[in-house]
Amino acid sequence: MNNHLLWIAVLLPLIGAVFAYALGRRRARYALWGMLASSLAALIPLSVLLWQAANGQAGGWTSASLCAAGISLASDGFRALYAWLSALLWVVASVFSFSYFKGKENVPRFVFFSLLTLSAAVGLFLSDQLQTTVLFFEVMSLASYPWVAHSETKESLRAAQSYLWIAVIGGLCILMGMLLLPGELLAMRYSQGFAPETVPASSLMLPAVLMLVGFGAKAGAFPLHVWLPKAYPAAPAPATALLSAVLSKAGVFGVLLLSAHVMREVAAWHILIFWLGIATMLLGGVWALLSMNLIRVLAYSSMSQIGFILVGVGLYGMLSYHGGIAAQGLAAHMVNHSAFKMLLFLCAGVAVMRTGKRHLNDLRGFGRGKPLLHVIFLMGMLGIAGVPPFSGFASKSLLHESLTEYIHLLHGGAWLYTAAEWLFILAGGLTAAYMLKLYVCLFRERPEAEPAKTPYMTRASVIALSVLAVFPLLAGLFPSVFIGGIGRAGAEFLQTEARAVSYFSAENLLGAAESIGIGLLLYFAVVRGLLSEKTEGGRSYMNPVPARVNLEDMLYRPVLKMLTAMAAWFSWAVSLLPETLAAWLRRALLHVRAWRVPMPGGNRFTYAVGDLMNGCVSMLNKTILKNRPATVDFSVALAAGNEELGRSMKRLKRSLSYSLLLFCIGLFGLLVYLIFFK
Amino acid sequence: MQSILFVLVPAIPLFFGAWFLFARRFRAAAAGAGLALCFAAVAALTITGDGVQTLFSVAPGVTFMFQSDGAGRLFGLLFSGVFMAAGFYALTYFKHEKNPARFFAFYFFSLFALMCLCLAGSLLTMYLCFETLTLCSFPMVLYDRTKEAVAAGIKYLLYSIAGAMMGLFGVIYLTLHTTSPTFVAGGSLTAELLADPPALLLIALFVCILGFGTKAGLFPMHGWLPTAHPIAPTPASAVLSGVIVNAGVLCIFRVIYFAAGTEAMRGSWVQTALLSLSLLTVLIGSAQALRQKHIKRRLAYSTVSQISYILFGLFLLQSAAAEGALLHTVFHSVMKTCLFLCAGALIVYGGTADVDEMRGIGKIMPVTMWCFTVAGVGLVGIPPLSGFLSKWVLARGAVQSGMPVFYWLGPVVLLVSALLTAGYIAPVVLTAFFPGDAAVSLRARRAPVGMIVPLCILAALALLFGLYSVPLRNAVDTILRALL
Repeated sequence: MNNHLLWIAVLLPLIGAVFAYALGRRRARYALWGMLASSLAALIPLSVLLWQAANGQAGGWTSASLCAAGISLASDGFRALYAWLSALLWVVASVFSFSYFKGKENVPRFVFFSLLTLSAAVGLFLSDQLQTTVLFFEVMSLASYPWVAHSETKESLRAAQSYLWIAVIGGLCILMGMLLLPGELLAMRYSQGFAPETVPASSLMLPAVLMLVGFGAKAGAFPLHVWLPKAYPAAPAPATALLSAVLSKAGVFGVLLLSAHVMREVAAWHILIFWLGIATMLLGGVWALLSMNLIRVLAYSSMSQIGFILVGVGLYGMLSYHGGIAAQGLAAHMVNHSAFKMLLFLCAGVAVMRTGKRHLNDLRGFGRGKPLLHVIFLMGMLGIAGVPPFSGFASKSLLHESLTEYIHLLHGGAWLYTAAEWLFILAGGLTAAYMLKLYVCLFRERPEAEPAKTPYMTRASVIALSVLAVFPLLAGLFPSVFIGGIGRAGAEFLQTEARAVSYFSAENLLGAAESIGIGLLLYFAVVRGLLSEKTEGGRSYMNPVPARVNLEDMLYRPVLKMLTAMAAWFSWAVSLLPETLAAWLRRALLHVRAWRVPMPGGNRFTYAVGDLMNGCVSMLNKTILKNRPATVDFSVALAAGNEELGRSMKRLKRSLSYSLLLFCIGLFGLLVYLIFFK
Repeated sequence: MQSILFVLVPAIPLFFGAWFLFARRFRAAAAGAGLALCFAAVAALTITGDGVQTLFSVAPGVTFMFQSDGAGRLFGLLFSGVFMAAGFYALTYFKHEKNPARFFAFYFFSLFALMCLCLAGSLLTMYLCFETLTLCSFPMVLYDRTKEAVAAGIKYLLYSIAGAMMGLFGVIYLTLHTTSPTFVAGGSLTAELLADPPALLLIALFVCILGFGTKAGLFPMHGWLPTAHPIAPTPASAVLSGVIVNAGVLCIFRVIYFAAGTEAMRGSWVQTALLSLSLLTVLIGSAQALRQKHIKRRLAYSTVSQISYILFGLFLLQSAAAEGALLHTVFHSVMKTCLFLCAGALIVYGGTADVDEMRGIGKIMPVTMWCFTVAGVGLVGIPPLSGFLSKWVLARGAVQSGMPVFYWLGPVVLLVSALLTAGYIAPVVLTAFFPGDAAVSLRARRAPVGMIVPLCILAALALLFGLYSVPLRNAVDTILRALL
């Protein structure tokens, strides 16, 4: 019943993290070897699980006694695939890290937290219960913090701050949502189905929206995407690639779970997700077109592609029992995007690693004379832009097809969704336009100085990237094998019927042509015309929107700051209230004005006792303490003590505690009276 | 066997306390042995099961007695265990201080009072032990004998005595109106009082709980806590914040669940008022902690907030919430003690108590800061650490309780407070490990092993309890099953 490979796959990177860190303390490179070995080790059980799932043997593992509510894992096709893919991409990133981290500091720390994140990511994708998902989600969110803060520059620390706070607030929102969910939903296994009909749909909306805040923020959905364009450029290149390729999918995975297993029957929810997806897709595309920082363009591109996936999630729910194609499309686009972004971010990483610069104007023509980099970049670019016959074309076509299907099924209000279809095509055009902008800048323009012909990647990274780069073309050429397989797994996980699709139909090709046409138009009209100008050194890119205009600095941070200030002020006032009240009453009622009253040094009593003790001491000094006579003058000491005591008492008499004490003694007297004399 | 243990459990700390009070030289080995012996005695008592033992009687009806039951043993194990960890830390901490014997004398006396409190079998016994605890623990606050320490000590004393007086009001009222002389699961209020609860009963309950709440830092009686806890030497602050505040929790638990019973309070204005006060305290505590720069003061305010989580859970009178509350008592005790002990190591060996000056300290004192991080993240309530488990059970209980308003307000306040907790813990951790470009000018060095080991044990417990806590949850469930 219990398949132990599941927990082994989660635990292996965790153990590896400790060993890699320990090794890395001796030499930094050992840590990287540890990271590679651990990722490869995790890949073994995951490959077995994937193979089993492909043969129809979904594995499961449950422990009721671990953590707050037990841990349950399962590996059906889609989940096994994504866990496997995470480990695979970790292997690629580890290989790439060898060249990236040459001569850099804090490598063991990076490795430790990377492996911790891997463990959490594998656990998350294999989770079979909401509480397990959230457990691994939170661990993953926090464990990936050191990625963003890694370089410890001012910008990266600020970016990391945004990352952390959005993760923490999002995490707490998820917990609040979970608290409000009915108990049977929390205990439900994903493999068992979806929300039972006994649960009223109205009670689900608020918790689901709260959870959407957390998952959506991680995915990078509008309006909580603000951390993304800051954190991606701040993190080291392998981490950026993984953030985009795996961690953003974790957020999407969370939204998927909500749509498929909690909110399946709530129509309003799916419409919300759909339009959220449209907004994310468009805004991400527009900002990517405007940005001038290589990594930031790719970051916004991630946001935009996540928008495509969210549109798919929305359509899957809106189409309800016809949602098969949408489910296939979104699953395929998730995998595709992971692959493309891994390629693109690592290519960008090469540029950043070699030049230390991220601005497009500094990277003009970086790729000239680097044919291998050129090919790898092209694969990623043609894939993400949805050019046939690359695999991005297949997945976007599926999404597009399900949107047209929805429009066909609509009776009224179809114009709204026809508009949405145009926006969808426009977003595809934006993708083509900003990728073309990057391509032209990196590979077509002339650099200021012809770059030296030095090796720019280690052989191992070349192999790893080349293997990955074959995927977009291969999967695109044989879509029914790859895209179809992924789609079937996705549809099974989302519990709909997968359908046969003809990928290269005239309709799909026309859609792709429209997108690419719009892309070319946008590139030549907007990028060439408005966002860049010809200068002596070549084309110079610019962004008309000032950097300080963004949601985070203009809205989130001030609001949060104001709220904490208000809370602090309020709590200060309230907690001072009792003591202030006592002091004020004293002043008002007893007319106490002077706060400092000179004290007498001592009184008759202290002098009497002091003299007595002095007498005793002098007696003792003459007898027992002959060798070590005591020299204390007790009358002086007692007088000083008395003064101190008096001062303390005076201070206390003005305080709340004293009045409380008197009050209580009175209360006690009253009680004794009530009980014994009445 | 059990009657011997009833004597041994308090006698061991009392003996060691008296020894150190009069001893010329302090013997660290003896102190360590004493702590371990006390813990062993409580553990042995845990095996022997339930029982009652009359101690002495001053007048008919005024009898002092010991009782061993699930709740008492749970708190006893917790208190003696945490005292042991903090005590071992103190052995190293006080190596360079002037007068360790005096400190340990009162440390053991406090443990003695706590053990008596756990064993107390009736309200009057409990009251007596509560007063003894105040008197035994306040010299620890005075240890430095500076002006602030004396003022803080006296503030502590007066607040506590005032609280105890308020408690006494309820204690006498309840003693006169309960049928059983000992604590009985579910309470033993007389039938006529239950049928028609008079206003005086509710007033007595309210005043009594507020009074015992003084030790637990319940608003408006929390004023002493942030003054007195930080001023004591670190091991004392740790047990004050991690253990002695829980004495207040235990007393309130006894009064509500073992003397008055839940029925008298359920749905009355007393419950509403107490729930509101505890939520207010949760917010005030964590918001105030955010403003503090002194690390120990920050942690002391955090205690104010966290203990009120527990009280909120107890006041809900619902089994899941109460389970969460008891779990949080255990976990908070472990985590807060760990945090305070870390803070002590940071102050002594890191050379600063100001959280803003701890930039980069994690690179010099990694183990200490890691322990701080684990305990701190647990305090925020991030899974899979133990703090998450207890807060989750508690908040889930609040939602299930169906109390009007509080079923949602409670969880919201708890989460807002968790956010504020993250606000005062995270910056300390992050600047310590990620100092940034700013030059680090710290004269820090590593803390000695004798201090590190207790820290690691406590931090490991904070993590392990979160991963696997079935035995503990079973024990807590057994206690609560008889009550609700």
